Parts: sequence; structure tokens; C-alpha cells
Amino acid sequence: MKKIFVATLLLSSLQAFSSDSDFGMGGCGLGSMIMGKDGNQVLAITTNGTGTQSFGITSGTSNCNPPDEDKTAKLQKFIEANHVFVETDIARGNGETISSISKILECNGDIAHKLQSNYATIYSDSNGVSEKITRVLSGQCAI
Amino acid sequence: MCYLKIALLLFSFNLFAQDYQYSVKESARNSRLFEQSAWLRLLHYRKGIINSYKSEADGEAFFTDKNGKYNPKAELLTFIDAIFKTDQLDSNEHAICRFPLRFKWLVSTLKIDPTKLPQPSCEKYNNFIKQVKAKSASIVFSSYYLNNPASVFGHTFLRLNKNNNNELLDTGINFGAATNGANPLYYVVGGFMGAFPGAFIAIPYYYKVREYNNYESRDLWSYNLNLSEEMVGRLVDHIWEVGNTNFDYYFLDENCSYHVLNLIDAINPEFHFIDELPFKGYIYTIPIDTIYALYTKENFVASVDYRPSSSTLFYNNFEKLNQNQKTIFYQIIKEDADLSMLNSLSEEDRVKILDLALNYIDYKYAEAILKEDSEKTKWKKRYLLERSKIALSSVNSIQVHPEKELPHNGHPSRKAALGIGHDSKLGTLAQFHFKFSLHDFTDPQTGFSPYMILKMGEVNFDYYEKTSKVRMKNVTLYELLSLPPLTEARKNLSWKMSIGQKLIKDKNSENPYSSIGVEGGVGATVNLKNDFTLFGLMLLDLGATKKITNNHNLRLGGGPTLGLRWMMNDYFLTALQFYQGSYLFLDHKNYFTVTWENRLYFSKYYGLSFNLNKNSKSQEFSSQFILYF
Repeated sequence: MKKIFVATLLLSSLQAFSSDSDFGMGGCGLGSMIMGKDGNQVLAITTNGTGTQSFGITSGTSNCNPPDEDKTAKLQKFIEANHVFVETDIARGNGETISSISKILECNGDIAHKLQSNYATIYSDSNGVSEKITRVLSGQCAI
Repeated sequence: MCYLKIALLLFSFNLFAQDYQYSVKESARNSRLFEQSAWLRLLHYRKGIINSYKSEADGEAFFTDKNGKYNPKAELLTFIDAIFKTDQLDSNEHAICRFPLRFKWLVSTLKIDPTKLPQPSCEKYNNFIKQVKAKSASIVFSSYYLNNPASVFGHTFLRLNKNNNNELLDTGINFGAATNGANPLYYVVGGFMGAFPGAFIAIPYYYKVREYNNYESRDLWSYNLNLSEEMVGRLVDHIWEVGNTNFDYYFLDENCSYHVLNLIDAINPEFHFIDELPFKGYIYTIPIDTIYALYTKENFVASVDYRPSSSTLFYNNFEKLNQNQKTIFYQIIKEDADLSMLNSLSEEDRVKILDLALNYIDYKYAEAILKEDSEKTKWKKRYLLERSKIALSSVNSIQVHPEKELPHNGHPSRKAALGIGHDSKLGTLAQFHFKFSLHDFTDPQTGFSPYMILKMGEVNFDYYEKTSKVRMKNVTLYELLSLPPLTEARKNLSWKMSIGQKLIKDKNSENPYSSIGVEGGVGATVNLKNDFTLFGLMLLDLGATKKITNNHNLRLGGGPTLGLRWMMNDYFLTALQFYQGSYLFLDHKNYFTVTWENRLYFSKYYGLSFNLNKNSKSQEFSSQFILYF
């Protein structure tokens, strides 16, 4: 029982480590992993032993961290990885991810309440969230 | 005529450049620059036995000389040649682009005239600097995580801060192993042997927050470093250099925390943080020790920030509700709950309860929500929709963190104790205790969770005066004990697992005998009062022994264990532990132990222990002097 317990403990946690090998070598170290098999982002990197190729820095971080000038791509990556908390913060009308969005899109003034009042529209379905957010904010941000 | 002139000019320029290159090399040679600690650190050399050097970097791309890994001198001279090379000026592969910090150090140390050097474009490096926009740096400690053997002792990584009030968009620099789909057994064995290449990656900090804070529910502590702008620049340059190579990953010593701390040492010869680690980082590196090391330099940590995990957020916010609000929370936290009952409440109350419901799902179903599991997502969406209709902002709380909980205030990881005692059967005895790491039920609890026991490498020896013999009393290779107290909202089981040896004193043998094996079990913990903890576990105990009775080598049994601890204050605690087991095969099947420990601490470094120990056969009294170091 004890042994099985230990073994399962080891197995269950280590699978997380092995899982990230399934991601290709293309792009930046994580970019390709982030869009993992089942399209989820954070899971693919949930390990200390993040298993990327060793060129995570020198091959440029462009794929996981688009340049600031490419606001659309930057916002999209941000929302992909933070989707759980972006949605929560929008529904609550405040939160850290809202100020990140404001920074990425260079917005003026309070965007939180505008996003909150458009929550139902933005999340009517889970597709094109970052486009819908951009549309809602188009008047207030440099996009 | 004209051609000749140009050719002559080119020739003389070339000659001139070669002359200069030669003189730079000469002065590097004459000043024995390759022996300077700045150079040795930039290349991550460590001194071996008999004056030899070896770099910890294992990728060829980290060196310009083919013997660079073992030869600091050859590497320096070849590096000088490399920066004078006039090809590859726009390919990012020029040595000046690949090793910006080495280059800058060399230029300033030898007072090289940069105008006499090639000017490669280094587009990728410049992009990296531009993206990171580092103004300051922090080391982030991700707290202990008992659910993953590789993360039990916590984890550290770097954060390069833009200082623009939005940490999420800062850059995390993580060192990890590339396991490439190794099976779990190979992973564990290979991890100890250094079979996997480890590498640094740069990644937006929000990935790290989601990974640790939310997916694994671990608290994050940022130790913001007091580095000048110049030092931050050096750090970023050096990260660029190491980002190009790999280091064999060793679980115990050359792990994430060691390499992250080593980056700091590399940028300034006056830093000696690695030397402050237990055994100077040679045998093992526990992540928290690298945080302790930062505090050995006065004012090096400018400030500490705390980022609560999903579970911390939920439990804290739950405790803030009054009884009435809690009742309503329980009524609505069902997938088919009727949310209209919220309508009778004030907006403030609705916000509190709905926010807590969101906290709850984020914590309890982190994986399902992340994977956009349709059922859980639909469930959460009901609260989100309700919440979005109330224009009131949420109060995002838990900024306070009591000094007591700050990880860097914990006791040092190694512990030694010397004691003297008396056993009713064996007479007077002397005791020796050593623990490599980390935290026990009766250690000072500041800086650690009092409900987590985490031991690796503990040995206890007794010396008996009567027989003049030393006996190994107990060796713990590894022990984990998780004791989350049950509360109204938290219903987690307690559990234990340990691997090691213990000395059994029972009636089956004239003399005490050794049992080597595993022990584990499950149970529950309650906090009777804040400082009064009671736990009970059902244990299973399996060990190999010498032949005792009936010619068996196996000692297999189990039974209940109970523990009680009272922490009067930071300086005094008392703990009582009881175990009653029944064992198969043996003549005398019952075995019990009772231990009563009293600890008096003068600081997090010293203490005294007074113990009473009773077992099936004898009783023992002892007192010890304890040292954490």
C-alpha cells in the first residue's frame, strides 16, 4: 500500500515532466509547447524541469513574447495564457490582468468597467476573445 | 598605381589590426587575466583538485576554444581572436554578439579601443535587451510543494523587472531540465546522475504565475535585489550568454536554485553567494538556502513581495465571511444551484459571495478550468455572469504577510545535535544527530508551514557507555508528512511517507535491532487552538530485519499514531507522539513508543531539547544541545 502510494505519487507528478516532450522544436522554446496538443497553454509548461530545447533565449523569445510593437499578437498570447483570470477580472471589473491589457494596448483611463459591462458580449462564446476585447476598447486605446 | 596604393593601404590596415590584436593578447597574457575571478566566474569555472579548472557549462557553444571547458587561458586567448574576426558580422554568431558581457569586461579591463574592433550588428541580442527592458531583478521563491517529488523543496527562478507596475508582463528566467519524455524511473535516476541537459529559458512572468500560483497553488515570494542599473545590465547580458548553452541537470547540487544564484555571482567578482551555501553548494542546494544566502550581504534584498496562491486566496477570503454569508456560499456552490437567492442580498454581500465562488472553482478545479472542461467552465460562467452585472469593484486582498511566515526568516537547513541520556536497560548513553535538511515537527516554525514535515538525510547515533558501542539509531533518507488542519472549508487528509532505518527495542530480541524499510499512512489533523495541533494517522510499517523470531526477515505491521504539539511561543514548544503497532510473524506482536519532546530555542540557530522516550522494552531520558547552521 505504502509502495503503491509512493509509486503513484511519483508517477502522477512525473507525467507532467514527460508530457512536454510532445511539443515540437519549431519556434521559440516555449511558443510551440504553449499551444500544446489539446490547445492548453499553461499545462504544457507546468514543471520546474520545463523541457524545452536549450535555445530558449538565444533563438529569440519572439514566439512566446511578441515584440511590444505587435500589439495584436502580444494581446493574443497574453489572453491565451491567462484566459481563466482575464475572464474573471473582466467579470469583476478590476484586477491585475486588466492593467496588463491596458499596458499592452496603451489605453487611457479606466477600461475595467467598460470591459465589465461588455462581459456577456465578449464571452458569448470562447472564440475571438482578444478581437472582441480590442473592439470594445478601440476608442480608448492606441490600436 | 592607384590599385597598388589601395592594396598597400588595406595591407597596412590589416597589419595594423593584427598588430593590435597581438598586443591585446600579449597584455592579456602578461596580466594573467585568465586567472582573474571575473573571467573564471563568467565562464562558470570551478576549481577541481590540483589546480585544474572545469566549467559547469556543458554546451560547446559556450566556448570559443575547443578546450575551453577545461582551459581558462586557452579560452581567453581564443576569445580575443574571435572578437577580432571580421566575418559573420551580420549573422548574430559573432563572438561579440554571443558573449556581450565577456566582451564588455575585456574591453574595460584591457582598455581596448572599441573603434579598432569589428562592429557586428547583433540584431537578436539587441532585440532581447529591448524586449526585456530590465530595470531591476528579483529572485522568486515558489514555496514547498509536497505533491511533486521534484518540487518538494520549492523552486527559485529570476524575474527581470520593467518596473512599470505590472509584474505579469515582466520576464521570468527559469532554469530547468529537458527530460524529453524520459520515463519516470529514468527521470528520477537520471536526475541524480546528471543525465538530462538543463537550460535557461526566458518567458513572460505570467506563465510562471499561472503555473505555480494557480495550477499548482503555491505561494510566490519575490526577493527584490538591490542591484545598480549597471549590474542589472550585466545580469541581462550574462543571461544572454548562458541562454545559449546547457548545463547537465543534477537534482541535488547543480539544480535550478544553484544556477540561478550562480548567475548573480557571475556578474560581480565581489559577490560570494555560492560560498554561503551549505558545503559551498558542492553536495546539494536546497532552494531556500539560496534565499538565505542573499541575506548574508547586508541590504542586498531591497524588499520582499508576496503573491498568494489560489488556495491561499480561497481560504483567506472564506474566513472573512460572516456565518450568514458562509451559509449562502454553501448553498450556491453547487452546479445546479439557484442563484436567485442572492437577489435579496446587498450588492456588497453578493460581490463577496460570488468572488469567493470564483476563488473556489479556480482553486478546486484549476486543471479542468484551464483545460476549458465544458462542465466546469459552464458552472463558473454562471457566477461570472451574475458578477459582471454588479458594477462594484472587488477588494483584492492579502497584501499583508506576517513576518513569521516569510520564508527567509526560517531556520538554516542543516541541523546537528549532541546529547546525553540514560536508557533503563542499556545505561548511560551519548547521542549524536545530524540532519542535512530541512524541517521537522518540533523545529522552530517561523518561515515554514507548521503543518509540513520535510526531511532528507537525517542520522542519529547512540554511544552506550556500558558496552562501549556505537549504534545507528535511526537514518531517514526521506520523509514527508503533510498535516493540513481540517477547517470548515478545508477537508484535506493528512499523510506520511518515509524511507529509512530505525532501531527497534522490543521484547523479541535481547538487543535492539535494525529495521530498514518504508512507512506510510493517512489520517487527519485538527487545530484545537491556534497553537495546539493534534494529528492521528493509521500507519503501515514494512521493514527488513535480521532474523529475529520464527526465522523471519520481515517486519510487517501497523497501527495508529497520534501526535500533539503545543507551541507556546517562538521559543518554546512541547510535543507528544504515540504509536501502537501490531506486527505479524513476531512472538511479541505488540510494539509501542511514546515520545515527549520539549524544545527551548534561543534563536533560530540554537536550542535545547529535553526528551522522554518510552517503548515496549525500556525507557530513555535525554537532553540535547541543538544547532542549526
